Amino acid sequence: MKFFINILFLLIFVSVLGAQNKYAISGTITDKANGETLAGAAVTVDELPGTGISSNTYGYYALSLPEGKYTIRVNYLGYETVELEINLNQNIRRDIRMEVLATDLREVDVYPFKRNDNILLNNIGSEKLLVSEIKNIPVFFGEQDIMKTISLTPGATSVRDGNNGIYVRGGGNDQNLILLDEAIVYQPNHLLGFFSTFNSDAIKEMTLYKGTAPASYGGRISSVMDIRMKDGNNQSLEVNGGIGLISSRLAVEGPIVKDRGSFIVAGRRTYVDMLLKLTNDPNLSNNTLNFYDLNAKMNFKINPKNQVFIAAYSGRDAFAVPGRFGLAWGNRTASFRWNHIWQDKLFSNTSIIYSDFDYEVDLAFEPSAFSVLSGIKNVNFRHEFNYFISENSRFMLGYDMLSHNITPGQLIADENAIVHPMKIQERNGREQTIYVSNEFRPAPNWIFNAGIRLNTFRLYGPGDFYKYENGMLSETITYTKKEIVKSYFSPERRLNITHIINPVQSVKMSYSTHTQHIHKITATENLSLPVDIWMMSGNNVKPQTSDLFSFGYFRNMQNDMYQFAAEAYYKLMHDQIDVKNGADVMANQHIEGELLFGKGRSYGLELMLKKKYGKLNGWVGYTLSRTELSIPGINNGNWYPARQDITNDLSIVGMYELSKNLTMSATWVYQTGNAVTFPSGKYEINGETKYYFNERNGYRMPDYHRLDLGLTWNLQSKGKYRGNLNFSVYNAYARKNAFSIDFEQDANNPDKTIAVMTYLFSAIPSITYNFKF
Amino acid sequence: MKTSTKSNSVNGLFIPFMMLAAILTSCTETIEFEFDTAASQLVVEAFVPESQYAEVILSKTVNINDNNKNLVSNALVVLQDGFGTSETLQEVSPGRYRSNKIKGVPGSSYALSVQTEGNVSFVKSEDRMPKPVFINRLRVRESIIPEVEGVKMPDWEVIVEYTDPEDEVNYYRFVEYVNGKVTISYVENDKFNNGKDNKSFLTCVDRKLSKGDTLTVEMQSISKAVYDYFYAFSTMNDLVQGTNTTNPISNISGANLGYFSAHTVHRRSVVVE
Repeated sequence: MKFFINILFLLIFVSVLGAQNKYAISGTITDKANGETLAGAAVTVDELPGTGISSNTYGYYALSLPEGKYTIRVNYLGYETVELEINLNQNIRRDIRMEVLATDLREVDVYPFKRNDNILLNNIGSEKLLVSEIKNIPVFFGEQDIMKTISLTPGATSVRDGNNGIYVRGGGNDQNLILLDEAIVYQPNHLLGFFSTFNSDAIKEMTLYKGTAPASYGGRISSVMDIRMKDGNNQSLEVNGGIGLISSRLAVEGPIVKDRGSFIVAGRRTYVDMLLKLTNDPNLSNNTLNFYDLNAKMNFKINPKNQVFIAAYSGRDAFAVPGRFGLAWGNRTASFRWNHIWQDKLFSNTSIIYSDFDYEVDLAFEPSAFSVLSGIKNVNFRHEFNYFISENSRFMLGYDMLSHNITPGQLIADENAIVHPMKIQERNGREQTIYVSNEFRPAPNWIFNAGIRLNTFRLYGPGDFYKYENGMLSETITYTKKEIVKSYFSPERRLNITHIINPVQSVKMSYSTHTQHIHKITATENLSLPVDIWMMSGNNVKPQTSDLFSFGYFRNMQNDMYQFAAEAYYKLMHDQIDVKNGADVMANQHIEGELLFGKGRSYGLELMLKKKYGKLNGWVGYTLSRTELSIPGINNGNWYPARQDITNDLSIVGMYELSKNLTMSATWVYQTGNAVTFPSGKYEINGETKYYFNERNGYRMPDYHRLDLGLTWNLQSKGKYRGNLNFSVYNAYARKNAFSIDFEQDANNPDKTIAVMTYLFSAIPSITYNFKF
Repeated sequence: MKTSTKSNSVNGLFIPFMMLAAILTSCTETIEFEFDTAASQLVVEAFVPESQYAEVILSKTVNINDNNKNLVSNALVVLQDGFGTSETLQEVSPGRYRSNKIKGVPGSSYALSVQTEGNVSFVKSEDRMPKPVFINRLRVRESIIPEVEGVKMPDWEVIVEYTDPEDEVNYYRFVEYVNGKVTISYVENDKFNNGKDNKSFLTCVDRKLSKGDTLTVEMQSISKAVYDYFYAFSTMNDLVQGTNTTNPISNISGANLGYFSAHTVHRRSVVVE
């Protein structure tokens, strides 16, 4: 059966390749002021209603049309529409530079074009955020944060404060593919999860695919978060910065050669430790507690057909008490990309990418003096072709090779130390994927996007590899370097269908399958600490897979002023991984024997009402969902709610322009408390009270809700200088949201048990000064 | 934060994490909480200490806000040693069954079976006493971990020194007493320090010590099953599971809760200066 589905998908591609020969208009779409490329800009033809394509990730577009005279229209949200009259009697190269819409033109009455982009694009289950549009949303300590903002949209959620990342449609937080300029980011959080690793000064946009992602993405079973750095202003030198209470930022960007190349360097550092120095407490003042991010990128257009990009990122957190211990962790990424236009309709991108994550714990107090290291890294080579077949069809073909290396754990100690040095064997694996997809319109009001990824994973030696039966070691085999230990072939299917009922209404549906070979054993469920254990698919751990079905209805009202979306999804997750009760996971060569495997399912309804224009804009998002797991060995194998099972999740985001220089904003979040395990009985062991747990995740945390407020005041501008002051209050009505609940015996009555709730924040006001010149 | 800390073999490794977490999680308040109830379960605590008579305590779980003493009387408790001796243990006080014949011997195996009144539960277990390991030195010092306002960190550190035998995998349990009262217990194995002169770094937030107090540590060599059982209660497991939210895996078949341990005993004391 599966075989025939795969054949069917292949036939869809073949059927559309025989398209007729036409002339092409092609080029790159950029922002006129700074040269930033605009991905996803809609290119339509007046004479051919119901056709159109969007620019690719690099802003490149191509339209193939029969000879003739046309009016081409280019639209991008927040920019003035560009209209081109062309006489197409040969292939034409036309780069398009778009101008930002003047603020006073943004009022809906004078808005020149009803885009209805959400209706017309074939993109169910995706959410795109530009840093420029979230800049007024209030956030923790005044730091704009694209990851925090995306969690305010339906389907994506963060569980409580100080937590470990984002859960998308019931998937685990290790099931999100987080990419920064195509490089995998393993740990998207700083400082216990209060800040993301993405400095908004360096970031252009983020696209979340919570449903069926394009075939070019793969490797995680829940979602894709594709984050793109700015290219840098190629028109003039620009400096952006901000000074806040606990962090500051500075970014410099400018042309290398005007119109042809640019660079950006952006840095951010927190200085909680500098504040510690101000206290009189000698125990605190010498401690280190900080993080930094450094982003750098440059691009250069060698000629109209060739452009190269080099990007790098490094971020690190440090916490240390001198002479006692130190703790440090961080991500690094680097990528080199080459865009080449073979001929007007054929665009290719070649990328070489490296990324890693590591953590280190150093102890230096008697009798404990040793270090623990752990890390994961990958090298990735990608080569992708975009073939713009006709005025409404785009074909994509790509090859992706991804090499993984995991250092699970290493103990570094000298002879006098109380422990022996040890190293858990490194693991090496490689994924090779060929993917094809085609977007086409079999009829003017139908858009299909079908794709397939043929993924092969191989786990390689050297090392000793184990097999377990019922958790007991059954076989040990030693492999030499490059020897294949285990391989998996996983075809993945992607299908999106959009039916446009009329220009303001559409229905969309999708089906897809996903595979994941890199698995994370979360060592700290409750708090975002970087001590996770990574492993690859192998003899005992099968690839995690998922099947996702979704259906959506999209409707625009009052001339595109209000956009409404309703999406329902059903997701099945297979070969999910959990740890046995009381398992010893640290530096354990036999960790694979401590695992349990099962399945998961998640389903839900997501509603979103957006107001995109006008003095008041923002959105209301609501998700009703259920996520359950069934793992033999846990809860007697019965289905139980997953930790991230949040029944009701409501977010309201509003921004209101009080005057030209004053913008007010507010967000309110309400979530059903997530599922947790608490005791249902007690007993004594050695005279100590112990708790009896009857059911996994049978309880709920108290409901979570929070209001954040923000006010941005634009200061008088002088020449190129622009400045603003941003005031914000996180958790404005000081809701004590439970972070954890612990149980203690009442000191006055040992029979009684009292519940003690820990919460992280009351109201946190902050002020940030932002500038630009 | 948890009020008590039970250290594990990689002593002190979790102190930085605890402290980092503690810095940011210091606001607490008592809340109203409604607990579920669950059917009562049999709890078996059985031990054969070295050179001491074996003892078995039988009880049942109670609801969270009920009196903890729900002891099980009139059970048939049979203990067998590796030398062929079989004995039905006498109930010396409600729920407490004691041997008159069998004392623990290192290297010997023991089998236990318990049949409750009316044959409601029938459980069995076996354990083997490992070779003894002795405490070489016991030290107490004031904490060198810096204090942070609002964060509960240990005031005192206790260091137990012993030599781990190189030729076997060892599991230990330490029970700490201050002036004769149990303050804390913890387990460790020799995964990271096989054959080393080991210094176990033991922390306890709630340990109140003053000059002149007598601190005693009992060192037990235990089996892997017993180690696994107690390990499930440890802080390390808290970190792994979020909070300590699982019932430890018992080495008693037929019962979900409790353990059967045949262990060695070696004690050392120190007067706090």
